[in-house]
Amino acid sequence: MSTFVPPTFEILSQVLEEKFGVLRDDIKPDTVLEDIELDSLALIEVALTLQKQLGVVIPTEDLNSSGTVSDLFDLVNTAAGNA
Amino acid sequence: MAEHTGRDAPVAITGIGLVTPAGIGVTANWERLLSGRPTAQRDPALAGLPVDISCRVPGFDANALLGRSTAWRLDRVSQLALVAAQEALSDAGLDPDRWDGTRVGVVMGNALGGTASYEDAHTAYHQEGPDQVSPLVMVNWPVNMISGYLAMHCRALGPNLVVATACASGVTAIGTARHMLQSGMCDIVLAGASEAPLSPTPMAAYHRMGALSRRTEDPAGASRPFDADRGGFVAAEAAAVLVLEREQDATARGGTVRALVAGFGASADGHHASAPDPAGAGVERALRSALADADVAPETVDHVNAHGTSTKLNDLMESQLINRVLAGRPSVTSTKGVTGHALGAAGAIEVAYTALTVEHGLVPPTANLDKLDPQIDLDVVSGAPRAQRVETATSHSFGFGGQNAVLVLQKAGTR
Repeated sequence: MSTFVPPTFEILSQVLEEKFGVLRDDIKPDTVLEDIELDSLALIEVALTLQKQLGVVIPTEDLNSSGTVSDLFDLVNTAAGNA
Repeated sequence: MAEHTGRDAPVAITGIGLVTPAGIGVTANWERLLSGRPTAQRDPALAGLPVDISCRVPGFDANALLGRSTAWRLDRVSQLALVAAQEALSDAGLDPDRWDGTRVGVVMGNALGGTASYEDAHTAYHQEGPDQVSPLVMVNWPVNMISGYLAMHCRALGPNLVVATACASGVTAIGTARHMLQSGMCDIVLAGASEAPLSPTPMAAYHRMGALSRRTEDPAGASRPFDADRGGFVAAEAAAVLVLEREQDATARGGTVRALVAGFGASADGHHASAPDPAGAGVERALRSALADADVAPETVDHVNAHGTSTKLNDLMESQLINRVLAGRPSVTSTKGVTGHALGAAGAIEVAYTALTVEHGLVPPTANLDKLDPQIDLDVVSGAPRAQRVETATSHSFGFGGQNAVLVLQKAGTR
C-alpha cells in the first residue's frame, strides 16, 4: 500500500510546467490562470491530470480561469483533504 | 489588390511548407523524393494489428517545433498543419503581423479528423467513465479545427474552412482556394491538407477493407505503385500548406512564383463507396474539366503526378485514364512509393511535389517499381530522377466515395 502524500505547490508547478508548458517564471501564487492560457477547457484537462497523478478529484464546477494559481492550489488541497 | 480578379486570373504558389514521412521541410522532402528511398517501416504504435507498417514523419517533436504550451492542446493533425504553415509563410516571405488578416483565407483538406484524440477519449470513456473524457476532444477531433487553429496562429481572419473529399481533399482544398482568389474573396489563401490517421481503429478498418498492403515482412517494399506485385497502400501521416496569391499581386509585392495553379476539375463517380468506377468516367470528367479550366490541350500535358496508390484497382484504372486522355505520353510518377498514402493530405503534398518538379525540371522516381504491371502502359519514371522541362503537369487525387479532383500546374511565366 502506498502512503498518500499531500500535494505541494512544487508538485503542482511541475505538472503545469511539464505537461502544460507553462513557463516556471509564470507560476506564481498570484498569477491569473487565463493569463497563462489555462482557460476553462484547459483547466478541466489540468484537473484530469492531477486526478491521475495525485489521486485527487477536483470538482470541475469549482474550476475558474479568472482565479489564480493559488486558488487552484487551494482546490487541490481541499480535494486532497477529502480524498 | 482585388483589381486583378476574374475567372482567368492566374493564381500562383508563392510558398510551400511540407511535413511528411520524407522529412520536415521542403529541402528534406525534395532530397528524399529524388533518392527514391521508401519511408515505410514497422510502426510500434500499430503493434498487434494485422498490418503494422506505416509512414510516419521522422523526428517530429511538436514540443520543440511549436512550444509545449501550444503542442499539448492540439491533435497531431493540427500540429502537422501548423508546422507546415510556418514554413510556407516563411518561404513566401510573408509576416502575419504585417498583413491585413481579414483578406487572408484558409482552406485545408482532411479526411479523418483528430483520430488519436477521438480514440483516447473513447478509451477513457469505456475504461474509466464519462467524467474522464477530456473536453478538448471536441476541439481536436472535428475536422474544421485544423483551419481554425491555423487562423489563430497565423492571424488569418478571412474565410476559413476544411473540405473533406477523402483522398482528394488536398486537391479540392487548393482548387477551392484558387476560386476564392479569382473571385476576389481573399488576397492570400493558405491552402493544403493535413492527416494523422495512424491510430489503431482506422488502421484496422482500412485493413479489413483490403486496402492496405500486407507486405509486412518487407515494409520498405510495400508501397509499389504501378508495379506488378503491388497489393495495397501504406498509410501515412503528413501535412502540406501552400501560400496562394493572384500572380499579379505576388509579382507586385516581389514574391517568388514557384508554379501556377492553372486549372481545377472535380467530379463524382456515383458508383461505389470505395471502389473506383472501372470505366473511369468520373475521373475522366475531372481531368478533362481541369484541362478545359486551364485552357490547355490534353496532348500538351508533359507530366503527371499520379494518384498511384499502389492498389490493384486504382493504378490500372488511372493508367487507362492517362492513356485515354493525355495523348502526349507524359512522364508519370507516383510519389506514394516514397511517402506512402497520406489520405486526405496526399493531394496537397503531391501538388507541392508537382510544383517542385515544374520549378526544378526534375521528375522524382517512383519507388519500388521493379516490374511494371504488364496491363499498364505508361512512361513511369523509376530508378533515378529524370531531368525534364515540365511546362504543364497534372496532379490527380481520387477519394473513397467516388470523389475526384485534378489540378493543372504550369511553369511560372507560361500564362
